[in-house]
Amino acid sequence: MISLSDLKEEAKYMSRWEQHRFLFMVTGVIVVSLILVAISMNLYNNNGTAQVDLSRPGYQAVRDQVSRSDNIESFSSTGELDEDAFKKFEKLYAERSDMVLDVAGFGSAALSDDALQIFSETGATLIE
Amino acid sequence: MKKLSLVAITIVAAFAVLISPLAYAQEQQQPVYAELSDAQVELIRKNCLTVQVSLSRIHANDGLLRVNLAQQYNAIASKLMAPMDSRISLNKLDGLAMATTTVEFNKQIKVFTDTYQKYENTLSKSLTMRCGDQPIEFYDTVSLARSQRNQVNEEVKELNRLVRQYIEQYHAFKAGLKSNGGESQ
Repeated sequence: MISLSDLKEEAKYMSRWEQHRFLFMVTGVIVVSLILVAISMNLYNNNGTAQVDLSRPGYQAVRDQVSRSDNIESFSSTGELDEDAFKKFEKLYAERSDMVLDVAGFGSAALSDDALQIFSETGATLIE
Repeated sequence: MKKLSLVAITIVAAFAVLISPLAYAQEQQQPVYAELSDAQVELIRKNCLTVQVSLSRIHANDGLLRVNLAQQYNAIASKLMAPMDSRISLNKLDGLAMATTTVEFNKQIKVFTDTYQKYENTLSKSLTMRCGDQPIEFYDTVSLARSQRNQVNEEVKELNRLVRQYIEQYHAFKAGLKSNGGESQ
């Protein structure tokens, strides 16, 4: 059975590193985890993932309007190029292209001084 | 001791990797300060909180539009253009023009997402700024976001031009195939 006085006696011959190794280990683990979190946050923000993550705060109002991509029909890459294949491709292509060609884009007018009423003397009102 | 040095070097290298893109991004996005009168600065200070609420709505709507558009563009590229090019090739027919457009379209999707990322970063910065304390910086950040949004719009127009170009090339290919005596073997 090791008594407290034995432990104290043993500690006298230990280096500072040996005396505080548990504390060093805990600190080390925290430092490593902070570095890993910082690296992963950096990757998340800089590789474009953040821009498609609509679970972030601020996107609650529009989250349910995301179109689902898993039900988009694919054109088969094998087979003959006959009239049926052409018709099928034209139908699928028209469906998809209509969804992008008819969309109003990212015009700069929405961020103009007038639209934002940034210089309004009567006070800006919210854009609906 | 050697092990400790190795750990220290690894930590420093990790931080260097971590910080370099941020420094680069900040360097790239330095706004040019606009010349504003004292009265205009005061108006910005007075209106900026309401403007930030409007910007947050634009931010949310743009995020949704970006996700939906990118989804459709990726579907067009991977589920329609690439399979059609592959099928033309398997049938030993000449679809080089269409395949070139597909490659160009894929590159343009990447340009669009990169440009949008820069715009989103700037817009997010304008939302988190203490605009009452920094009205000029706030105005310049909004101005920068405006020009970047315009750039995103140009990238969308280019993508749409390629969508149209592909279907035109497809019709020309189809017409050529029919005039050359029917369809594939």
